[in-house]
This record gives sequence, structure tokens and C-alpha cells, in this order.
Amino acid sequence: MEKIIKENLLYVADAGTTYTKVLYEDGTKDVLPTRYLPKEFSPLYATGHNAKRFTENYYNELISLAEGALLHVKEDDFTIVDVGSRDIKYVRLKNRSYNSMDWNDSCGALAGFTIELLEKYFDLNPYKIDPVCKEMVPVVCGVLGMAAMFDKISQGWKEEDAYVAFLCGLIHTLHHFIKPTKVFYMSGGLCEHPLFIPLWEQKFNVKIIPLGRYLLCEGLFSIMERER
Amino acid sequence: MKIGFTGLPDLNVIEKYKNKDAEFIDIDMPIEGVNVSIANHYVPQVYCATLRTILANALSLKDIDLFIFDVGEGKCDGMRFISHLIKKLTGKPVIETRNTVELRRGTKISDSKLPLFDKMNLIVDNALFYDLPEDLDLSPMEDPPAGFWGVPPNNFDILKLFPDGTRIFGWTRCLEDGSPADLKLEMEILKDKPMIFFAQQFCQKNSLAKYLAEETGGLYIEVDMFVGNLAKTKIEAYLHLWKR
Repeated sequence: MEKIIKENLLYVADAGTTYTKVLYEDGTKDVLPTRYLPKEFSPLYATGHNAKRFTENYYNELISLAEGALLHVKEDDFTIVDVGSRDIKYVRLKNRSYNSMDWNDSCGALAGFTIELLEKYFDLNPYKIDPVCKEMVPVVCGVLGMAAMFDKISQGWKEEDAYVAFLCGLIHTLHHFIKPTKVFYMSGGLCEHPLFIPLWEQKFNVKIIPLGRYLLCEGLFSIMERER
Repeated sequence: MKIGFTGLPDLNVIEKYKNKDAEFIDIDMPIEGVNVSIANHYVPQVYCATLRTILANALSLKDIDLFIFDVGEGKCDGMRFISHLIKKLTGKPVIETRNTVELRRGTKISDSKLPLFDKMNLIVDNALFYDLPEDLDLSPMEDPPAGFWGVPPNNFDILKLFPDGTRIFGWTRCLEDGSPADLKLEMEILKDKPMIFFAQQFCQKNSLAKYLAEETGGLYIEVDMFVGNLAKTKIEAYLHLWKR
């Protein structure tokens, strides 16, 4: 627990539903389950679903996402997508200015949370599963998707195959929500998932460039630097 | 005599009652003490918040003697059915108008420096008689920071997110001008400024809002009865990115 608060260092945080990501002024990073955050946790700037509990300098996730992407991406026109624990959001920029954006925290959501839940429940190791989309189950939302997946298992599917079909269904829903270009950028914990990006690239023949789970923190940090 | 009205009915009809000590009550807007969920008995829950509010108000405000509803293209098609329902359920007299008059009262409030929240209240409160206080400062905002397009929202909280002087467009502008069916005026927008296109969820105006937002690079927002974090976040982010 102590490791997350380094004395005498300023830090910003992305306090998400499940995990809180922290970026210190010396560039080091940390992540902790949000439900275990200590009382003294007080980032100078914060974003995320739970951020307002911890700071007065709150910036919302769409702003932090866009600011973070603008630090990393050099192109004038691009799309950045963030797949979180319980939501998905994207910002599309044209000439490095606003073009469109959307945020879905209900239908098609619970993405990261549900994936983690299924892996734990079925004791699946995603590193040992081939990233191949053969079939998919409809994932209108996490709960309905899980129901469809359990139906497949009751019909005799292997748990592993049903899980991959769930992932493919989820990706299908997300893809049509964000209507991406051939190449786009992604942030969030699922950047590090061994199946998520490969399945998406394969299913829709797109190129996804991961920018990691600290992108919102980095965007927030740049706002803090401009304002201080 | 108490008269409940919606939209901007034909003022020739309103005039007939103006001098009969009539009290006009705008039943488009939420009224304290009225439980909107009573409308659920007669219309789906997945339905325009404004029309549900109108129905709940009409059923709850027992002391209303007469209803005057605009049901034409200056209001919306859904209002024709709600009018029928109110007539049947209350047994009270209902006068329907189809107001296509263009009064051209001007858009002083919409264009002023006032906060958006105050502007909206002024326009709604003066919809029928446009009787503005003489000491009211309505000097125009020459370089408005943003534009709000849409109908008066069912919940005005959303308006507090906008910078002071935000100019009003869309049907609300038409309402102030006394020209509720003027589509050309309704489609006017501010160029080279952030424009937020708002529509009440399940309302036909959504198609126009979405079209204009996509044509102009504006932000399209639809909101039901309560302004959730999602809508607030999108507006904040849009204004931030525009300024950047």
C-alpha cells in the first residue's frame, strides 16, 4: 500500500472504477485497485470515475484522453480509443482539433471488468489461448454477452472457445460504436491484454497502436504543467 | 380562470383570454409537486420527457379550467396525440392551434451577455407576452464564446455548464422571436465557434440536431429527464478541446 504514495513527490491519478493509475513528477508510475486506496491519497490533479473524491483539480476523462493522445501522436488526424473497466470512449481529432467523440458507459460497456471476471471464474490463462476469432456471441452489454456465452457452454462448447467468442462479440460491438479508421490508437489496461488487440486487428483488418494504461495520467500531467 | 398552455400557441387565440383575468401556466416545464411518473400509466416510459411532463401536469393541476395547445409544426407531432389524451382523460376543454405566424419580436435575450440559464428562464417566462422588465440589461454579446442550439431542456441544469454570453439558437430562438415554425431561423448557427446541439431524448428534433452537428463539427447531445455525467463530460471536453 505504501508504495503508491511517494513522499515529497507530486502526483496525478486516473482513479478508474477498478484500478487507479498514478504518475509521479519524476516519471515513475504505479497502479492500485481503487477500492484499496489509502485515506491519505491526494493527487494534485485527477481524472476518472472516482477522481472527485480525491482532488479539487478534476478534469474529466475525455479531456485527459485527448490531451494524452496529443502528447504521443504526431499526426494531424487520428482517433484515440480508451477501453476501460466499465466503459469505452473515443475522441477523433482533425487537424489536431476536435472532430467528434462519444462515450458509452452502459450498453457495450463493462468491457475490462467482464473480461477479468470471466478469466478468474473459468481460471483461463489468456496467454495460452490462440488469438483467433472463429465465432462470436452477441455482446450488447457485458451481462447479456455473458448470458449468451453461458448458453454456448451449456450447448457443449469448451469454456475457452466461449470466452474467445465473447471477446470477439465485444470487439464487434466496440468497433461499430467507434467506427474507426484503418489505423487508430488505444489506451487503457486492455492494451496489455494478450488477446484483445490481436483479435480486434484480425477481425476487422485494422492496425491498433497501443499507448498504454497511463495515457490519461500523462494528459493530466501536461494540463497540470500548463496551469502551474 | 387558469389556462394551461404548451409551446407558443397562436397569440390571436391567447389574446381572447388575456383580459379575462386569466392566469397562464406553461405546462411544458416541470412544476413543483407534480409527479411525472403518473404519465407512465398512459404513455411509454421510453418517451419524450417534455410530453410526459405536459401530460403529468395536465392530469395533476386540477384547478386548470382550459388548455390551449400548439400542436402544429411549431410544436411537434407528438403533441397532437397528447392533446387528444388530455382532452379524454380530464374532460376539460382543449383549444388546439397550429401557429405558423412569424411575429419577429427579435432575439435580444438569446443574443445578450446574460448567463445561459438566465436567458432560458427569461425566454420561457416571456414566451406568450414578451413583456421584459425595463431595467433588464440585454446588451448584446458581440463575440459569444459558444452557441447552444435546441429546445428549452426539461432540466435546466445542463445550461449551467456553458460560459456566460453563450448565444441561443434553434427552436428556443424561434420561440423568443415569436416564430416557432420558422425552420430557416431554427437552422441558423454560429460559425467558427463551438456549437452544442441539444435535443430531448426521443424527440423528433434529434434528427435535426444530429444533422447540424455533423455538418458543422458541433457537438450533438441528447438528454432525458436528468442530466447525467456523460452529457456534462462531453460538453466540458468539447469546450476544452475547442479552446485548446
